[in-house]
Amino acid sequence: MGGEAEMAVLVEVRDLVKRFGDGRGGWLPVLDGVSVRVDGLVCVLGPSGCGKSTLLNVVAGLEPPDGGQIRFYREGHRVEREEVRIGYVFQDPRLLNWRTVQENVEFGLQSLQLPPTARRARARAYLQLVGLEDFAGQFPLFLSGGMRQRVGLARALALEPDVVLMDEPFSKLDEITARELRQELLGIQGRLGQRILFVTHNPGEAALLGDRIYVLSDRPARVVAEVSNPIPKPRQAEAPEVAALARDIVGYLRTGQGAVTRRTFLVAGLALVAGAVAGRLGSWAWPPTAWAQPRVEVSVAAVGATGLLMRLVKDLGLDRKHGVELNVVPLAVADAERAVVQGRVPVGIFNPISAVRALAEGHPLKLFAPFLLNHNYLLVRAESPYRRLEDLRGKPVGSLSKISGTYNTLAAILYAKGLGDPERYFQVRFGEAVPLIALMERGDLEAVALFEAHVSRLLATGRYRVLLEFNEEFRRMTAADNLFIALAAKPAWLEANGTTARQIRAALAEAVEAFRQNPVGILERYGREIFGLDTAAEIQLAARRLRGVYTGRWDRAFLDRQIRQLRLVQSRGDFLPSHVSPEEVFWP
Amino acid sequence: MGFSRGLERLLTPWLVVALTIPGLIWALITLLLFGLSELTIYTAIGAGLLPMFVVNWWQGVKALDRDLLLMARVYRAGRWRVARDVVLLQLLPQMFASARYGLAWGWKIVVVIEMLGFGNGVGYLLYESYHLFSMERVLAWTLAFLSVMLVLEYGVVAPLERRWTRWRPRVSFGG
Repeated sequence: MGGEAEMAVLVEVRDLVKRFGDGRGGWLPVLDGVSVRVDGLVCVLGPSGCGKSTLLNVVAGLEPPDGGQIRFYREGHRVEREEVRIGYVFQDPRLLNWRTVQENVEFGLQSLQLPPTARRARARAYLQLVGLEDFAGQFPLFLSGGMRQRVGLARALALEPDVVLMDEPFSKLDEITARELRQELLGIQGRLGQRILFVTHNPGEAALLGDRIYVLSDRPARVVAEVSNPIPKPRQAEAPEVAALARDIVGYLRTGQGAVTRRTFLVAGLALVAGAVAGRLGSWAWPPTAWAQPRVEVSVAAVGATGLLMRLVKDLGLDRKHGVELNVVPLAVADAERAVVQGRVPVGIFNPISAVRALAEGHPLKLFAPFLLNHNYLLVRAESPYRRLEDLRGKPVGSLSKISGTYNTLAAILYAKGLGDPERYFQVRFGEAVPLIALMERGDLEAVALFEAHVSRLLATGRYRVLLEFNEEFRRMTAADNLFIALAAKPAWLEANGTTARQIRAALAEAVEAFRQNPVGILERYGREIFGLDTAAEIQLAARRLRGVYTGRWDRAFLDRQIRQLRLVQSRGDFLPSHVSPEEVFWP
Repeated sequence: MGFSRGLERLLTPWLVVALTIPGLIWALITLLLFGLSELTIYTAIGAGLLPMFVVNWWQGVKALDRDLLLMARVYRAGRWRVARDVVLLQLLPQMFASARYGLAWGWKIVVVIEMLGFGNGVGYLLYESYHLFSMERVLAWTLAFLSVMLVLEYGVVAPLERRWTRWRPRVSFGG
């Protein structure tokens, strides 16, 4: 052993500092003055992500240090890294999958410039050492994970290296294989006496393998403890001493992290002070809007009144004014509602009835910020003989998709009148608004349930008339306005983001108010794009019809009326199951 | 490209332009430049295939396993060994994909050039059959064309690919 020890290489890592760019021009310290001496089987233990792999990469010369030194000594004399043979066992096997097991081991030997026969013999010998001689001709992908890791081990050992770097080499293996390989490693190291720098996050593994164990703190890593392993070899994983040492090490890990935590508090405190000072300097600039405002995705039907409301919010900057940034996701009517039910966006503009239905289907949703937006109509051609809803029984009637507010409201009215399911009462044809209008023009449909986006335009032509105004019908049936839209979100989101929800509500209420102040001006600006309104006459007509349609009132009486109304709809037929309580829908 | 960021920035717009040029345009340009000669065919195929190959390789190089390159550095592998064992062999599946694509695309261009100007070849004969209102002949030539492609695929490309990618376990579905 003595002669070998003199030939052996000693690695000394002193005050090693390593930083990485954080991608924003700053620096993220990873290693903060780490000193390690590798003169046997040395373990470095630290929490995941603390920079252990970086330490190995710097020792291997794959990355330059930002401070400190790495020195190699042979027989007491300083030598360059190039003169030292370094083997590296990675966390993953890192094999050339297109080369056989034998060729992979030989790949690690090429720097030795051995004659081919000697190289082959050496590779074969080390494959035998790790018990893989029968698999020499196999390709790695045909082997198990444990076997592949052994090939990586053989590749490193076959080099007969002065130093072996091991980066959690057994962490991705099952425990049985890992145990086996640990014992093998202990045996091999006992026989060959390599210097091994073994990095792990497993205290038991460190206690079993390490002659000396360095415990690192959380990032930036510093050595918080250096423990000499007093347990004589051979060691057994199950031995109580090993378990006891592992417990001690965990204790060091904790104290190390505790120190870091204290430092984090200090930094947070400084940030608070700095923030307060900056606030004094210019209260308008603090906190900076860029990160102080939460960004919320809101799905909304791109067309129609909901689309208009959101455009107003964004174009007038009402969301930022109320301290939230809305990221509007314009979708088709049905998709805007589904997006929230499926959790793809946190907030959407919803029809309350479809929200109740979603609730009944087991997707909990709560509504907040209700707005009256009654602008749905059942239109027929001017010359058609129909006067009442009942006249359309069995006739072809067009509607937007089944999940749309238009359809839901139509269905609610039919149920309230005791007429039943619209699909059984009419021959319902679903489709987008424009194709539906075309079908009615052609005479394929007797009536179309539409929203204001198109109603004013169609009425202005004089070829159509309103058979049923959904708003009027609801008022007649329930003595209350039909609540048409509300912001909707999942209960968990609302609970966690109450302030944000109130901010969104305030922004929308202000948009409603802006519209009420100046409907003609706003329709002149957006009418063509959102409602397809072309002429001044169409704009005037739509402005008259939409005035007073939006409302932002949010009081108890209003809510009670809404709840009564939902109850009424709910009490009829099987459209809404009775076990759903309307209060569940609303968020006070 | 894939190895150098500056070169990538410089070449990407040109590559996008080159990729969007239809093969037909290459056929027309080379016909005008070189007339009815073999050179026309080779140039058109070359010009059309080059950007495709470049993109394919570029993506392949970008997807190279950097960890393996680090491993090769740790074991002090020579340049040639790295180029062959780590880079080239890793790109092999990608190369087969572009070879297949190139073969199919090259044939199509040849047919178009023959249609436009040559007095022989499958393209010309297809064109002639079309003018004779002969559906049978159009289909017959198409079938002949297809069988040559199939022979190339199953006789040359696929066996080569099998040989060079035997290190990958075959996944069998439903077996």
